[in-house]
Amino acid sequence: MTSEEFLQELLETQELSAEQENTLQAHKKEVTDFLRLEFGSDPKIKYAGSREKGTMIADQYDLDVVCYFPNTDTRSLKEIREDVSAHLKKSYIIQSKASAERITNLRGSTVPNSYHIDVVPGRFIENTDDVFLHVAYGDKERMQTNLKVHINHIVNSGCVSVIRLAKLWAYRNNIVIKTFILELFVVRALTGSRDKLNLMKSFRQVLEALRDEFDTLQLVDPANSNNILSQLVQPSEKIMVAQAAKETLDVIGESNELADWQVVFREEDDKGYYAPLISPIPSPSTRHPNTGFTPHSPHCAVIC
Amino acid sequence: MTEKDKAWLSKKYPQFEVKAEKISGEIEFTATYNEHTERFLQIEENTIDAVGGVRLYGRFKIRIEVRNDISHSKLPALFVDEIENVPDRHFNQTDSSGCTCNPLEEDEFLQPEFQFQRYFRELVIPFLYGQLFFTEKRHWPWFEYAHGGVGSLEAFSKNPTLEKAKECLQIISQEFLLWKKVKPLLLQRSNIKGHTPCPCPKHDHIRRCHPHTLKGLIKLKEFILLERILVP
Repeated sequence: MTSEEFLQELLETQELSAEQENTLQAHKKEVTDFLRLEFGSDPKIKYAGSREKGTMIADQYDLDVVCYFPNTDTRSLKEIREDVSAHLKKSYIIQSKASAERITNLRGSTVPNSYHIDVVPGRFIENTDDVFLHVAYGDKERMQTNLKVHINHIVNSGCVSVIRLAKLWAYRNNIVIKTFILELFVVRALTGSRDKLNLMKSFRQVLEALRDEFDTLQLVDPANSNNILSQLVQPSEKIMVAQAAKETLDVIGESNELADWQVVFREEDDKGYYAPLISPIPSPSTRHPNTGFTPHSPHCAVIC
Repeated sequence: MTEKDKAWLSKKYPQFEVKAEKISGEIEFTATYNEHTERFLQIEENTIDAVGGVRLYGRFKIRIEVRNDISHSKLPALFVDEIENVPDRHFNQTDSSGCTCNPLEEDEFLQPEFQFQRYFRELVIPFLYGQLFFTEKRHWPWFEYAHGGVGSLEAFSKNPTLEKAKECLQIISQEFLLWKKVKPLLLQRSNIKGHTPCPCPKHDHIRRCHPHTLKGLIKLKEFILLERILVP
């Protein structure tokens, strides 16, 4: 088997099984039906995220569902958000994220450990597909974006396979990077490339770009150039991702040998867990002036 | 506590009563946590908040005491008055002290000697913020370890050294039900597989249920074999 064949086969193993797919559909239906109970046929409720972009990987996925209300809705964005949240709380355990209400207790035996469902409430802007989303944190209370543009940007990029491979690399090496940032970065890194179908060559190109450019990246929301998405990445995260890419390239070397790629994707061991290849994340208490620190996780050594 | 620590405390929180082995008093603070950047910041006068996030104000009556129990923790015990003492809020159900940090991660507050100010800033204040957040949202604001030995294995997986392997082994071997399930895994000749039932009460596949615990177990097993650590 060549390295390229290995990567292609690896991606095939990352297709969701029929059972996993059925679970996703059942969850989407359950949440949709539950929202319709309260809000009727008004909101447009549909899949979003990696499910729609085709970038899901079986090792690690979640479900994103948007719930967009018509532009004629007279409630404020905050009120819409609160109403959706209050309704979901009647049936689920909810965590409020920046723009989504996260359902954490709708699971099944086939889903990954960190599986959750993000419901993103929003309101359409008149005569467009654009929407306003409520943003719970930060300077701005609302964000204008466009789901269709996001999906098309990824789907039409020709980079879906490489994106899936990059996600798998990040997951199996414990690299903390927001998925949508990684997706956009891969597309940018491969812009103009004629070899997008060659996984090995393309992924190496992405790794080199991550190593050389990730710490200075400027990524813009393809649906709204006012949203500078790279601002969401902390300097320490940028350094860590660049370092991880460098270490991966060191492992692969110039030879592109199959065994090296297997090491990178932790395929050579049969331990049932993908121990990180990359150096550990910097100390959690690394502090920056006025940017605070990452707090320690609480833990009861005695069983509570 | 050093004299410098005492001076710092009396300047910052003058209402605190400081005794030889105990500090007590009321604390008022504002702090913020941004779940995206995972940064925490206590907002004080002249603080420029570059964190954003959920800003909360709180007032608590607390006590910090030298431990004289048999806890695994070497840090002082934090007690918070008038907070419901439930496991989800991370209170030790035996002595009601706050479970601020995993014992395997305490070194940075204890070396080269106990660092009171860091302990106060980076464990006490965030723990109290966690209580405020929990009251509002009914969940902890940031990542929390699983309770008991399962969580100790998770913490060990983050920093797997020989010294921590011994410490972790000591902690988990004292938890009877967990140890009954974990010991055979550590001693078995074959590798620990991802589909092994999780030692937590859910018994789901460990790879899905507590993947970091699995990672910790694998590392611990490696240390036991390579360094010939005696398994109790």
